[in-house]
Amino acid sequence: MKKTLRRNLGVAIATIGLLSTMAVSVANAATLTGDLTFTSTDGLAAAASSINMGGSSFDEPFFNAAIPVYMSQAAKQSGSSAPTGLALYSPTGSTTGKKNVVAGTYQVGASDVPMGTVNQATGTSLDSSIITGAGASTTLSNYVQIPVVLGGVGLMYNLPSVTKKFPKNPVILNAATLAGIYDGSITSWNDKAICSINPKIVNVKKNKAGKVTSSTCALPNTPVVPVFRADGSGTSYIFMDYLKAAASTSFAITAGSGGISTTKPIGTQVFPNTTFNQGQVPTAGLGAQKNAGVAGDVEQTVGAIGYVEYSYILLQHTLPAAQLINAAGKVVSLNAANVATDAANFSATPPSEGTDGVVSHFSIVNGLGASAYPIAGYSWAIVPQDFKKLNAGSQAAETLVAMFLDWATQSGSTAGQNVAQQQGYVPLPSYVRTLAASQIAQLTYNGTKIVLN
Amino acid sequence: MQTKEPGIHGSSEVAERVSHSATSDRPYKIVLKGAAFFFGAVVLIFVWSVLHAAWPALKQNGYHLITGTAWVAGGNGPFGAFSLILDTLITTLIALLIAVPIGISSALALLFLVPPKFRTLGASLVELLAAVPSVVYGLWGLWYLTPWLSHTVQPFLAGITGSNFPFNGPQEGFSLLLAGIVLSVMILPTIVAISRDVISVVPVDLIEGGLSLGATRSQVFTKVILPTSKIGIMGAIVLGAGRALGETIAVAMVIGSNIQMPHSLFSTGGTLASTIATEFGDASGNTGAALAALALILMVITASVNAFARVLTNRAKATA
Repeated sequence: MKKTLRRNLGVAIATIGLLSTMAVSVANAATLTGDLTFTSTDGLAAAASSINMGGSSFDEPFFNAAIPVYMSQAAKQSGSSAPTGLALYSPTGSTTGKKNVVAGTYQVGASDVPMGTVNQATGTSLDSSIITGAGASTTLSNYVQIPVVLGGVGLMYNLPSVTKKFPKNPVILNAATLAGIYDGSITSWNDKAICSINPKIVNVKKNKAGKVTSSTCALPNTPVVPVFRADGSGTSYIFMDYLKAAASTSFAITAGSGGISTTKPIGTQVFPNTTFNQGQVPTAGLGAQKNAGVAGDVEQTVGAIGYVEYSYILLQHTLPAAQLINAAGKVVSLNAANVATDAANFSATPPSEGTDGVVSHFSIVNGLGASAYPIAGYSWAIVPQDFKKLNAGSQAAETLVAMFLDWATQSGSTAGQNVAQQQGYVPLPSYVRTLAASQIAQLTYNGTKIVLN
Repeated sequence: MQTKEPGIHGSSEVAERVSHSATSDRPYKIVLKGAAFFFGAVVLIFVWSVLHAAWPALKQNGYHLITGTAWVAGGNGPFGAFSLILDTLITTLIALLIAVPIGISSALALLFLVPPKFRTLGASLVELLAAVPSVVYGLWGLWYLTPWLSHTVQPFLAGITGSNFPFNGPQEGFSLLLAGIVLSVMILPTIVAISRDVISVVPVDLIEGGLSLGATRSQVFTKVILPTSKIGIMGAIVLGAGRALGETIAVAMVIGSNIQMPHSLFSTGGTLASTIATEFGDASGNTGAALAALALILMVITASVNAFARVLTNRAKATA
């Protein structure tokens, strides 16, 4: 009897221990939980006066930082309480951002790919199921698209041994090796293609005279685990846009090549797409939800590599970002200045919106400058052009949206782009701020222009 | 050893009396009937709307929706959910293989081996586990089990089979195996609690009879208690399976969300439920309709599992 008692006490203690470790794990994972609550803020839509913003998780760090700053500044200015109604931003993904603004759930939907983008090769719209229809809400020209942030997409990787031994030499990758990793033809970190572009990550043997006798690649024989976005994602679009521009010949999405499963025949491909490679990914690949999910999966898996917005590397995580070889053949690291150089390469053809509402020249990947970091993109706030016409909210709500976005896209020490800079984004170039201002000026309520005061 | 549950005797006479009560009760009856009608209408509307949403995908893919192996989201397909159905069944099977033996043994231990003063504690611990939200299990799996699996369990298992089926492929932690393990922890309380209830109503006379005939404790367990409560325990297993089949978020967090034909227990994949959770935001083409079709398939599977459980419990009632 005594024996069983002891045994059962043991079981009880073990169970309590198990429960407490689970409690601890919840505390550790605070950054992740926000991303996995899919509908919490969607539910707020029922409250008539509130303004719901959501979409791109690329923008999440910016909006989360900017909204409280705007509120407190507005409160100071008016001398009374802060404007009510600006709900917090929910990072539901770019595709959901577009979908929900058309559905009327969001007053501001954010996406890294402008709505109505047409694939040049196939001529099909990426949003055919939400914006083609007879109703006003499904007509593209009834929305204004406002560029809000400029950011770089980093490739964070988890190779603790290399990071420890070569702390000053992040792994260097180029478009061909990235394409190889993401189409499954490169399966190990010490693949010849990766070793040959990393001359500094080597084990060097010297003889007594101090002369180098041999130098071998020090990258480990660890399997590469490409982490991709399993949900509809503008970050996926930017990354695939880069692969297409810089490695179009090597990034072939043909069945059976490399690690791509032959059991997944290619359908009607739209490339680039907000769905990563439309399901054609290596068998070793890991799918994750949102930027934060990709970062989390990379942190959990030795040998993993994943693409995330810069601020997820800069502010939230401890893993390094790979350096890239850009179109000029130079090795560049991910920082705000290099992303700005990349964007500046496209200043001759700045993004613009046509009368049909289609935004052109928004792609800024693979810029030519010597210090250009090649994977970058603008992110867009999509707002109904006339809240009355689209039944999206009151005049006060539309004015608040216009004023907030106007503040968010301005430079200056107290304006939104300064907040963006603190979060790891790049301040919008002046010609893009001009576009933002002209887009905001298009907002009307029942045909009358919204007055910014 | 146990308390006898008071059965509801003569419940049909009671029902008779209630339905023939005084006319002053009429408004009350109207409210009750109205509520029942409303409930039925909600169920019908729900099923109709899922069917309506899924229709474009059903029309486009036909039976390939179930037999097809190509799942290309973010456009117009093709949408073949065969690997998703397989993954759903495989993860549930792994969960049952782990949870059923442990669950039934724990139920027996809680009833017969644990000293009486700790039984309530044990029972409340089981209830506590049952009340933990699934996202917590998901996080636990993601943060603690993925490194453990990829560093310890997967190399060990691969060592046993020499990296052959079923333990071949990349050792990333995220896998069908991990999803099965997390599910097993989640359905364990269901199985323990229900089998405990079922076993506790095995007549004391039978158990004492067995013991007085000189049977050992283990003989009483295997020859008297388990055969008597067999059908009820089956019900517990089926209910556990029902939860495992439909579990969404915990699975989405640990399964790797890379839809492919399973080639090993280490392969990543996606179940019907986890894929709906992962891809529901996708707006393009027929993807939304295809996800609704997944919901339909899942509803058919879980409904048949529940119907099976109902048949079992009815039979248990009839034989009791």
